[in-house]
Amino acid sequence: MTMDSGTHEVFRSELAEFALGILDGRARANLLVHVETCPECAEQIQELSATSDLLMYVPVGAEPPLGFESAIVVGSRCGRSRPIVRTRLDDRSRRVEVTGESAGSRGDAAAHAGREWSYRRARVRLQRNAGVDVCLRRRARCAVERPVHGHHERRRTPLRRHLCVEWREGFVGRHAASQLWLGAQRGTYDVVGHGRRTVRQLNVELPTDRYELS
Amino acid sequence: VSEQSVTPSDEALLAGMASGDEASTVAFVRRYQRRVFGLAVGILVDRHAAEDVAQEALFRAWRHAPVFDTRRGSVENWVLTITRNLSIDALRKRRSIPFDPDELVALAKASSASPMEDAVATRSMSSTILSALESIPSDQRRAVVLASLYGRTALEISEIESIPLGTSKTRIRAGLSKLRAILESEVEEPR
Repeated sequence: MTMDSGTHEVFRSELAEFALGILDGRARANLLVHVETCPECAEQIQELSATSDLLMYVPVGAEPPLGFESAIVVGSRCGRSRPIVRTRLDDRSRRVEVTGESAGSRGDAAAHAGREWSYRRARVRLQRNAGVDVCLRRRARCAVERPVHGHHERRRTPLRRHLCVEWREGFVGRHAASQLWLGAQRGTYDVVGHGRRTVRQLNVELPTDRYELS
Repeated sequence: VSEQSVTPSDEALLAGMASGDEASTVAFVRRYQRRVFGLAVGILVDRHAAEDVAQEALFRAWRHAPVFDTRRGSVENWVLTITRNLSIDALRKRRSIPFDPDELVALAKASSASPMEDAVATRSMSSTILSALESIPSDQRRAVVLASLYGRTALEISEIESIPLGTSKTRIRAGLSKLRAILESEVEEPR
């Protein structure tokens, strides 16, 4: 094998950038071709890459916010291609539990029929995270067993509903399927995919990611 | 009882996840969430953005668990690489200016001094790389950190640091090979 030593030097000078992952596509491809026939560069790349990998340990570990884990687990359970949840819980946040009693809670039929669904009572209290797994399991089971609206695809319906939970002060519009559907089911639920707006509309200062309808 | 028999290996967890075992997914997420979130926060600073990235990274790991080839490298390294790349993408998408590399290192140094919940192996890796970083010249350290954690190219680093491209390349190269030499000598030293 003949190797132009000048070319070799050029490639050699790019090894660090390659290992750090900052070489552009073309240079990267050329270098990879060279490495195929150059054991010296191949060895260098291995060693430099190991050093580069270690740099990922510079930022120390940090505790993720509440709801982080369950978001991934629920997402994985539903076989989605992305996590379903974008929780917005800041450092100060706690679990917020909303207990509401609604006209729709009498049953599915009432829930479906009502275009607007008024809340007679909405109590909000702060509560530390507890029993998340139980809640999730309950929600998941309900979601599978009780699809409400026929025009939704069964597979995505439960998640869609949870994603687009929309609270309005006093009543819920007919498009807020999640509300109607959840309202028909007693139990404690984790709200996934709520937005800040959502929370503000309920006059809750902190984001809620769990609520109870009874 | 050895630790091995109590704690499932990364490979076992991946196999569990691939077969749809939720307990494995939970265990996997718990094992890596601190590191993954820590890395994302370190790069992005913004905790909300970091949370999105960290969730996406762990989710991708879950999704690709069936095709992960353990011969390619460690699971941890794989998960962290996904996290770093997603963080860099997010940083670029937001057009955020990278956090000052010196501050990042100083911050990491300060946090590593306080008691941490991280595994012993992780802590030792963190302190090893931090002390190695401290012992290379500052301009090289900045270049290496800008490249590795912020994904900045040699050209971008030359712009950030107001130096010629050639100098930027030299700093990256010299910095990384010095780090490697330091780390190698540490490994060889008897404990």
